[in-house]
Amino acid sequence: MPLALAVIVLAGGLTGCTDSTQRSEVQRVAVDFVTAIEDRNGADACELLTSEAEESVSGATDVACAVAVLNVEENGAEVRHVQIWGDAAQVKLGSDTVFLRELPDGWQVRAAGCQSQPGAAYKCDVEG
Amino acid sequence: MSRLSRYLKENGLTLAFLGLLLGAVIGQAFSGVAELNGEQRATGGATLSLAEYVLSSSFAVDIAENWQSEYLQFALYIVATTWLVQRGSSESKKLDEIGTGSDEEQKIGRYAEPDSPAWARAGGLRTALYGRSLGAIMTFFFLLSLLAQSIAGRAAFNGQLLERDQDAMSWAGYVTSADFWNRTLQNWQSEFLAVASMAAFAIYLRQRGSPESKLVGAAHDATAEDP
Repeated sequence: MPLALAVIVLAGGLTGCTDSTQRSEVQRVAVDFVTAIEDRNGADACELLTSEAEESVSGATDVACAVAVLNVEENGAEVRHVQIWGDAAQVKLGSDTVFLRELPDGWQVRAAGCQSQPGAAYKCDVEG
Repeated sequence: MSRLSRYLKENGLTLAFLGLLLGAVIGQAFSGVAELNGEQRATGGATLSLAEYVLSSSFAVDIAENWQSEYLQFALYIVATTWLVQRGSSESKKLDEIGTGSDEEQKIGRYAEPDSPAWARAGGLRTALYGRSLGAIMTFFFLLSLLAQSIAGRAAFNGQLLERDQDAMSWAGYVTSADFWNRTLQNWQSEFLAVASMAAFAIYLRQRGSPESKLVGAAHDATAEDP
């Protein structure tokens, strides 16, 4: 039985438990989000956000998400790195790092416009 | 007595505990998926089926971290009781029997008996290996479970890191992380406590009929082997 456990864990753990469909879906959502902002299409970008992230974009102001989200600085959508662990994912693309979460209706962007901080969590313009 | 009844009687200890293991693992799977799905619903996340949960890293790490500590406990206990004794404990050899014993005492090589295992009679490397096979298999399963814990634990922890807007960790980074060692040591301490408690309680307390106990009327400073 320990051998069976080890085989399952090794198989799952070494691959990060992700399949190529999941990976391409995560990548697609991140690329679509960044491309929508670069195309100045805020409404499409907001549709890819989790509801918490969508609320955070406007913050305490009454500016609509579709307008406020265009303040996120993007510079290209070339994917450099994708990590998926369980229902959480990280995609590094262009000059941005985007964090996603898997929800009942698919992957959505939870945080975007994120820049790494030495020894700390990323600092994100959009944070859900 | 039928063959089945006899088989059950002769293997009752192993079968009973394998049954308890199965029941406990099934219970852990149901309670674990209920807990995880409760958290997911509270935060609007996707829920998992029982099958998905059983194949998940969070279920695997919870299983593996307990298994590795149990195998460590038995591996250490089997080897440590060769060299360490406890006066009066049924878990200990007599004070003057410390060590691996002579070939004659161990019934190996030319001292083997007709029904001794073949590798006990063979001598040389095979007998040396066979004479350490119990500790070795426990150590092997300990290391395998620890490896499984490190891989599954890394996967589960990396999920948490991404949720906190942090980069995921490499395997090498995870096995030197606080999360890995906290999970590991909290299991180890309980195993060491259980062994120390058993060794000490068995000096003064008895369990009538159990081979883990001295005879009820045995003296406190007698070992299990004393008449």
